[in-house]
Amino acid sequence: VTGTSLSPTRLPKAGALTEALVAPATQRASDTPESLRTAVAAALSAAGTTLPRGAHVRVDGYFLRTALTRPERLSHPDPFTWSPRTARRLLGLAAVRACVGGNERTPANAVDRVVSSAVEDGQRENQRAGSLAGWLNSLAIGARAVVRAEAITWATHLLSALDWRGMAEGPIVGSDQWWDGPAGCRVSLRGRSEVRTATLAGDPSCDSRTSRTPAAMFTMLGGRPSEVATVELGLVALASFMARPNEPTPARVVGWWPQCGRAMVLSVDTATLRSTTDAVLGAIDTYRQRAA
Amino acid sequence: MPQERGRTRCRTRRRTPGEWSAIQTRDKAIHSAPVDDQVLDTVIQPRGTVAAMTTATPTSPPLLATPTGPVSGSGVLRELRGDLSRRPIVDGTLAGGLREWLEDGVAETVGPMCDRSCPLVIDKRALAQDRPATGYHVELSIPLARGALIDVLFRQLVTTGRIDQPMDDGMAGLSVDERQADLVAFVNGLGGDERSRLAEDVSQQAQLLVRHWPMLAAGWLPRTQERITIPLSGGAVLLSGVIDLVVGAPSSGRASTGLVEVKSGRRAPEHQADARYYALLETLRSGAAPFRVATYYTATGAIEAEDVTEEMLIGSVQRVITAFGQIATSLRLRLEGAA
Repeated sequence: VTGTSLSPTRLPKAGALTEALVAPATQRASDTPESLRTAVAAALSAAGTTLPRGAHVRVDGYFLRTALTRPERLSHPDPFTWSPRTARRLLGLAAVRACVGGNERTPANAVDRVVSSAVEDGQRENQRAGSLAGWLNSLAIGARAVVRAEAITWATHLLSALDWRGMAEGPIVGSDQWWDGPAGCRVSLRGRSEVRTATLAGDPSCDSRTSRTPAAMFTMLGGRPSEVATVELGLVALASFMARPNEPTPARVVGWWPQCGRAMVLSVDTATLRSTTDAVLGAIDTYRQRAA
Repeated sequence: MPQERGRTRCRTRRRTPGEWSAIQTRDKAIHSAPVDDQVLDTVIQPRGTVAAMTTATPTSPPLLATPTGPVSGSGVLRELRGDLSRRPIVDGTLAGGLREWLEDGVAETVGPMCDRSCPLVIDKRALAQDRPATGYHVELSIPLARGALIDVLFRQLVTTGRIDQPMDDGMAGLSVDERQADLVAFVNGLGGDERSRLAEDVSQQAQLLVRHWPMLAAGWLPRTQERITIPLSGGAVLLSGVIDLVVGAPSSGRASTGLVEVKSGRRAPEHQADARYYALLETLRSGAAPFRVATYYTATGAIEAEDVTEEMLIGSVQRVITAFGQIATSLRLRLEGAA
């Protein structure tokens, strides 16, 4: 296991998590990130060519976890539908953004505003089919209350997970990273993270080619850490590394499971990026075999 | 820090006179400490006939004996708050000690029988019936449906401050959750009389809720249906629970959260044990014990609340370990029978 866990007894947890998130980068970044990036892109593009005709794989945390732990489910993926559980993150992120930005004081007020605004949007006729706004607008009062309640609980978890004043620069709330690859690439990466922030300045030998400190990502996950949690966190780093070629390699990814109170810190270095790439390639191969 | 956890565990079992003295000194410090970070001392928003309540102080009068009838909104708030001067400073080693104790209990009883790919789930129902929560079919019934509808309506009331059409709102709330599909189908399949009685019952309880449950200030950070999962033995055993309402910000050193369990049926002895089990789960998850747990009865508007103490948490640990043993025995018998 590459990741390390924080002490479960240290209080306040928000302070400990934030310290771990923004601590100066300690590992030396890749000396040749461009060559690593090129190699990863080539490997993923090559993996895409092995897929059945017309197939395209979007590698996100769910795909990776399913492929590595329950590959039989790849053949019968659940179709996406809106539900309180699938909507809570989008609504919750908007609410947390409003609170962190000082526009709202509490998650409940922020979620109320976000949902009301979405319902108003949904009442306009130009909503595309299947949009969150349209779905919210279609719900009865009782159902919408459940959606709001789920979003409030989710937003409260995220807001209280971090000490927001402990981040020097304005953190980005809702910072998913997409990498679509070069033209014709049939594999894309999606790294999900709730917060992206700069690390504190530290060892000058760490990626001194730019004046910016490496970024750190914070991701909040459901349930408890799975046996492939390290790889899931690694995907967040890999997607960011690939999608932001002009920035320093991310310093770390902090995973937080509020349901069980566990945290995991994954330091990002060349070895982490390589092992995550291997895991992604393995998952794509598993998918290819199942699809064949 | 296994050594610290071990020390906590020993202390919770046997205390030497010297340790008692240290604890009394600590408690004295707690009682004289200024109460300056009470999250729940925020503005209370009155709703309907519920009178605005003044902020409690460390000199709040002792709580009255638990009432059996409807409690006013301000009374509910008083019960949820408890005596502010008694909110303890968090013992940072307690949660670790309790966890170690549970880990030992799991290892001694059900540990060897567990399959990590198919964990043994222990929830309040499993504790009451001495059987795991997985592998058993939950019998759908009218009381179960009523409870689920009231849970949804309570959630709606806490979130939006209103309930308009209890049965319609409740069914809409259940229908949007794919995990409740069987229950929704069950209610929709009820005959006219049964469904009418259920709707009447739900409506009456919803009216009591609207009349007596206070609107909580958003600053209390009320969150509903808070799901907690505590893995033990490397994930082979999962302690699980869904708390109807949690209030208060996570602890910064002093106990700061309160838990509420909502019941739509009659009072039963195991309800207090359920609430205490949730206090244990929250302690294990957050590293800090909540200051208060309460059970709210929607059929009568009564509330039972108590401070969370170390002894209470120890009692819950013992209950869980005892249940582990009984569940292990029943599983062993099932396996032997199957062989």
